[in-house]
Amino acid sequence: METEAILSSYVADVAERLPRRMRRDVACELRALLSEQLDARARDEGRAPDTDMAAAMLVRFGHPAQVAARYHAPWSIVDPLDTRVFLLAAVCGAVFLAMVERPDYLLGWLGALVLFFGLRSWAAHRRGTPPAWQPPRPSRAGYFALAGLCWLGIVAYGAPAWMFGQLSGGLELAPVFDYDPAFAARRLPLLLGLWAAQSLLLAWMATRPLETPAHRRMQLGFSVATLGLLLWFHEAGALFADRAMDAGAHLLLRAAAAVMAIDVLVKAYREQLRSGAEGEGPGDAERFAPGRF
Amino acid sequence: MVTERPSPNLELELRRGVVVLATLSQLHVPRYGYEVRQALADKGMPIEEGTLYPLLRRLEAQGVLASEWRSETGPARRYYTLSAEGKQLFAQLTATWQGLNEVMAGLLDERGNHGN
Repeated sequence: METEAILSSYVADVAERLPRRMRRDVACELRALLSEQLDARARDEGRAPDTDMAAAMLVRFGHPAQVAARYHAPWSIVDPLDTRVFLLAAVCGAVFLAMVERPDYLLGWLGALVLFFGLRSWAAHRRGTPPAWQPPRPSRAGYFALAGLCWLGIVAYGAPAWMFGQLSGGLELAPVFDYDPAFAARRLPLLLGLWAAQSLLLAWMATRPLETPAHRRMQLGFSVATLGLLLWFHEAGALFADRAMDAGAHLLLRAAAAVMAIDVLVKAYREQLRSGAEGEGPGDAERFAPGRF
Repeated sequence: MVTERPSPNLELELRRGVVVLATLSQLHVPRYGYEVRQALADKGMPIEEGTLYPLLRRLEAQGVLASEWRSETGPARRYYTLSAEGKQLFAQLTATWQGLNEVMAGLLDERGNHGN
């Protein structure tokens, strides 16, 4: 019978969207229930069931994908909760690859993102309930480690010959690593000073109980300053006296500037998103409240 | 500034909140899906089939219902009934519902007094 064929087709459409372990059982039950329901409907209308009646009943029952989702919540490659982050990561990656002139890596980047977010979504699906939200507490060890890293950078870039001598047991650094005199005298100290200031901020943040909007804005400020310095270094002239070394350094400088530019864009974007939602107190809440009475 | 229109399904959403309790109330004796739906509809609580049948399976997967296939009186049907855990849950939800009912009655009565 045609009505039977319609019901079977519908049940198969639902079942194929279900996990194997429940497919057969749900299909048998759904088939029996729909068949019984169609018979009851035909009795109510005082006529034999036909294809129009069966189709109308199934339309009312719901699209097979929706019905299957009610039986078993489907897994999505990108969790809807992660959609914004996924898009942001995809755009940032594309911008970075454009800046370093490697658009051929774009598909690979998107593939890596799909893999990462797919695994993340799968883990969340298996876990069931999302982990409880926690206030953004700073990692003390992490901030102190970053502050230490700043000082390591200051020593490594400020006194490379001394550091190399300490690490190598007294050997001398090859002349190819000599800075351009103008860079060493006028431009490099600004970067070292910036890192020193940043290390103080990081050490201070490690002592605070919570990360605040002020912390974020200061970090954004440091990122903007670092990007400005990198771009200035790139345009202002030689970094190293040796020409080949200098060409390599400029290449690395471009990549570092691209990373910093993305860092600045992401931080600024997040700041713009959050600044409207984070009032400083009751006064702000009143100022921002829409449709006040 | 109004950016969203009231959902036409607000009443549906309100009813959805009691679907589980209503369904459990009909499963102190074994019933199959269509029979549960009919019992609820006869008592003034019609529930969409596309909602009810998957709900029975989910409640069974959660251990609230027990089920078995039976075919003594006609075609094979899957019968559901409250498990021991389901009976506890039913008692708990019933108490919650009655508490809510009292609170809501008070709230709505208060609203009526203000209106008058």
